[in-house]
Amino acid sequence: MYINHWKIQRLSAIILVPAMFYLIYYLINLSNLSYNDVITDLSSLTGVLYVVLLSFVLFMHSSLGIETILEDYVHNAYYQKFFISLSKIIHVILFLITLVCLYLVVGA
Amino acid sequence: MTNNRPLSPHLQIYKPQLTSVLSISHRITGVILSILSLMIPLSLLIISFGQEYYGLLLVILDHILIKLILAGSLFTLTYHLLNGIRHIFWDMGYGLDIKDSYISGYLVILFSVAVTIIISLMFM
Repeated sequence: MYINHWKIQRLSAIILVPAMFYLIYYLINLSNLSYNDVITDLSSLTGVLYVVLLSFVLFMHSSLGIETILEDYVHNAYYQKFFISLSKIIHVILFLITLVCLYLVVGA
Repeated sequence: MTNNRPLSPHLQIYKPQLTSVLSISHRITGVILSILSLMIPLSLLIISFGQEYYGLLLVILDHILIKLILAGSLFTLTYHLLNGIRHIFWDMGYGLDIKDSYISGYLVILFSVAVTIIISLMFM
């Protein structure tokens, strides 16, 4: 259980390194792109795959990180369990909302 | 679970060192980035509203106060990204001794500050 947490946290970190470098590069270059360019990029197969994979790995990484912090700083076992569950639910919802928003962009 | 377990580190009398400050900073920047991740669905939603809203978003992003927040966010991201790479090297067993961890620590600070300044200047 905890060894899986450790492995997934590292694996997601390694995936996020190139993904975030690309995101920074894209955002720096954003002023050179028109609205239609952005829509075209986000609607392309690679664009959709990028956003889906990036947001999945990112919210996973975020969820595991917040879980570790709650384990360390919330000492009451009951509250700890509550906040970890709450955090996981919020992360899943955020991922699903991202998928819906991406669907709206592709349809725009 | 009794109350007489040994407590360490004693934060009131603990002397902060580069390594410990970078360690807690990794957690703090991680939490900030978790909050900033809300921007992913939010920006997609604004883009889906159409060209006028996207234009409005660009106008808002051009405001000086927003630019300062963006520069701070960029530093948060680059710091966590570079320090994360440092952690991955540690996990593979590289750079674990005290001298190396100080060198890599200073490199993380240097590069995250430099990248933030260079990219921020491009938009001033």
